[in-house]
Amino acid sequence: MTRTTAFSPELESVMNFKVGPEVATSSTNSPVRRGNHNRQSNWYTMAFIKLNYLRNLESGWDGYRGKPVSEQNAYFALSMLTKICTDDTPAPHIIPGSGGDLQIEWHTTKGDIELNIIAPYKVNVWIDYKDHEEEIELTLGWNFDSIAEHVKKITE
Amino acid sequence: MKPPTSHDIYGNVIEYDHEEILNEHVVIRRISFEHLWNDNGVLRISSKAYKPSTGDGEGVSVDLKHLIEEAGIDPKIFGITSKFKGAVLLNVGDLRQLNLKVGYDPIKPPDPNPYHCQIWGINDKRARVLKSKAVWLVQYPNAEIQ
Repeated sequence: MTRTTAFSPELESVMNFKVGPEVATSSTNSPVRRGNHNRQSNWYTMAFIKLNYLRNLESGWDGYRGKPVSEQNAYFALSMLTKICTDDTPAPHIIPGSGGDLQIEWHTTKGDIELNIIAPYKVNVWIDYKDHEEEIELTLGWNFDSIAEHVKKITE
Repeated sequence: MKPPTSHDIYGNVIEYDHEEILNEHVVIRRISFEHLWNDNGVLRISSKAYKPSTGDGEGVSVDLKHLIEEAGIDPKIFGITSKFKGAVLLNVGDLRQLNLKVGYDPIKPPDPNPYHCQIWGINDKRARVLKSKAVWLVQYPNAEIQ
C-alpha cells in the first residue's frame, strides 16, 4: 500500500536525507540525541500524523478564514523537533494558527513550554517552570540547543 | 456600524480602532477542536487560539456579540456547528487596556459574516493575558477554559 502524506515527495526525500546524516555529525556531548532513531520515536510518529492532518485542514477550519498549516512550516516543525527531542520525549501538542502557522507545546508537572512557529526559523518561545517565578521568553533562529535543554528539563 | 475605510493593496482592512465599538461591548471567539490540547482527558484551549497568524499587521478574528443580538440571532447559536462547538467571550475594555485595537471587518459573500471584527496588536504575551480573561459563551464539551 502506498503511504500518502501531506508533504511533497521532494520534501519527504529531504526529510529522509537530512535526519539521517546528523547521526554522524552530532556531538556525543550533546544533550539531544539526533538521527534515525528519532524516526521510530513515539513523538515522531504522533507529530508526523498530526502535521499531516493539519496540512489537510479545510479553509475556514477555525470558523473564520483559517488556512491549513503550510508545508514549509510543517516541515520546519518536524525538522526542529528532530533536533530538540530525544527518543523519550513525550509527543508534543501541535496547535494550528489561522495563517498556516502552528504552535508546539508541552505541559507537564514541571512546567509549560510553547514554541510559536511564525515561519521557518522564526519561533517565539515561552517557558514557564512551575518552580520559578519568572517566565522565559526568547526568539529562536537557527540554534536550537538552548531550547533542547528546556524541553528536556520540562519533559523528563 | 460604519464600514472600515482603509485597506491595503490586497484588500485587507488596515488595523484601526472602531469608534462605535465601545469598551462595554463583548466579542466572541469561536473555538474549534484544533485549538484544544488533551490534558489527561480534559481538553484545554491553547494560547494559540488567541494569537494572530503571522505577526505584524495580522489580527485575530472575532464576532461582535451585540451586533448578532441586534440581528435577532442567539449568539450561542451563531457560528456554533458540529465542528465549532465552543465559543469564548472577551470584553472590549480588557482588550483596550492591553493597547489592542478592535476594528469592524465584515466578511463578504460567499461566506458572509456581517458581525466579524478583528483584534490587532496581540503578541504572544498578550495572548496569554487574553486566555486568562476569556470566559465561556458556549463551553466546548469536556473542555476547561484555562
